[in-house]
Amino acid sequence: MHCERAQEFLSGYVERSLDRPHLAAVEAHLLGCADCRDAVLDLQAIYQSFSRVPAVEPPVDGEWQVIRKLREVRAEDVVNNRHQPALLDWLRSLSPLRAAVSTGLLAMVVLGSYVAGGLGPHIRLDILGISPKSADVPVDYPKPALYVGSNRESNRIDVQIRSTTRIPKSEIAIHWGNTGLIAASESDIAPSSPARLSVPWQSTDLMNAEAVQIEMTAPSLPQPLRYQVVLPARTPRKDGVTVSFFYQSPVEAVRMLAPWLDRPVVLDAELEARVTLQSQGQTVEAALAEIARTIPAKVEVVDGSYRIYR
Amino acid sequence: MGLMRDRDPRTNPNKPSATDAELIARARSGDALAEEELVRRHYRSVFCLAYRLTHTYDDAQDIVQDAFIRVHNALPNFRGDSNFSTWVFRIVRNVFLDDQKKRRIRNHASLEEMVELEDSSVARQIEDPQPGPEFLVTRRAQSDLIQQAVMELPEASRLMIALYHFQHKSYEEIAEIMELPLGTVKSRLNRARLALRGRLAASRELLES
Repeated sequence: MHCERAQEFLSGYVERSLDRPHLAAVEAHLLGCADCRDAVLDLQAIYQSFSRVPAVEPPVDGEWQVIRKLREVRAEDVVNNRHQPALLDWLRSLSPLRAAVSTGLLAMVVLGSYVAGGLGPHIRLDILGISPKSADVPVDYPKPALYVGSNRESNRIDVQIRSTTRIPKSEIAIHWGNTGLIAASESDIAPSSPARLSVPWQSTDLMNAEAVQIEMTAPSLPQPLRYQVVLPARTPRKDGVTVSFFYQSPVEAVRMLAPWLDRPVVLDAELEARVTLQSQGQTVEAALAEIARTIPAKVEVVDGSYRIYR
Repeated sequence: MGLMRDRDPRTNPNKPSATDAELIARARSGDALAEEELVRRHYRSVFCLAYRLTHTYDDAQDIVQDAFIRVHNALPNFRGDSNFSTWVFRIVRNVFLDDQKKRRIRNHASLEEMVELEDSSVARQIEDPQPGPEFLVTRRAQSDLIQQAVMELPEASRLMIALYHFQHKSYEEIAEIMELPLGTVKSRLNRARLALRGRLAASRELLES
């Protein structure tokens, strides 16, 4: 056996998978061929090297990205009539009378939600991408009812989605802009079991947002439901507000807190530079004390959060 | 109120009660949940293969996404002759090879393209994709060495090496995925390993340490 022929069997030799005749032939060749013996050693090292390569950790949200994309593809399938979605099938299966009753019930649920939730007059729902283009109460489209309210006492945005049918694995997400995911949850929606998602107004993600997008996707929905909620203008407050303190930098803190004080705090270059300079090496408490002197404002610690007010 | 759960799929595992075949049957009849369960079940292995082929997270994720969309589109035609994992890997192979072909075409076209400057035109300068001397000097770890050497192999060889050494597929499974005779797979893998040996010759001491 010559080298070229022997090399065809070197992987098998290293893996010990050669049959007897080939094994004998390769061994005989190796006895007299230093180059091929080197090749065997190198191959053994290569096999071992593969086992030392660290495992790959996929991106945290990679699986979710694929599923989300698949849902979009399924929605396009519906548009192209490639598949019939379960929800539309169900609606089409209803008699006109039952469909009318269902729509009426849906409207009552939605209106009831608005009344019970105390929706403020300054919140408007814009429905994106689906008919009707804009409405305060989305009742004339066979989709889950959406209730968005602002609870003035707890200062939160509350999203509640009701449905007259069961919608398993509903993903509800609140976005700011195109990419800023503020909150998300997954739940199985049922007639007696609406989905709820609640975000504090004071969430740092919301501080600079004029509007947020609420998106709901589910395997059984023909397409994602998207809503845009225009946030109400922040009114000056005199009674202070409890905030969660997310930032270590007093400058960031001032930016975050400014809308909640009784008049706008203008961060001019001098103030920003001064606070930044003085914050170096400070603890959060010391930085807050500095903020209190700078604005000026009173600072209290309430259950781990900082209450800052004039 | 519905049961609220973390959206992170890793903390929200579905019970692996149904077999792949059962999920496929349900998915083929339009059960989106079954299809998504198949994605959840196979995402990790598909991503890992794609990463070994591309060595970048973004490109790997693109391949995975394209592959699962092709799976979605092809599900009605899936006859179940091979298991789902083998079928998905075959689709990943096709997506990867198609992608590489497109890249080659783009690079080829751009080499011939003339770049218009204000007062003249010059041939477009293309960065040499081969690792430069600085890179060769700085790559120290064995795993970096071997992975880089794999990346320099032709696509089909890279694919087979990744399937065998990273995905731990048998020769028989690789033959099925590559749609090649078993003997061809064995001989091509042997040649690929010898090619790796050639590429790693300069780093033999490090490799054998």
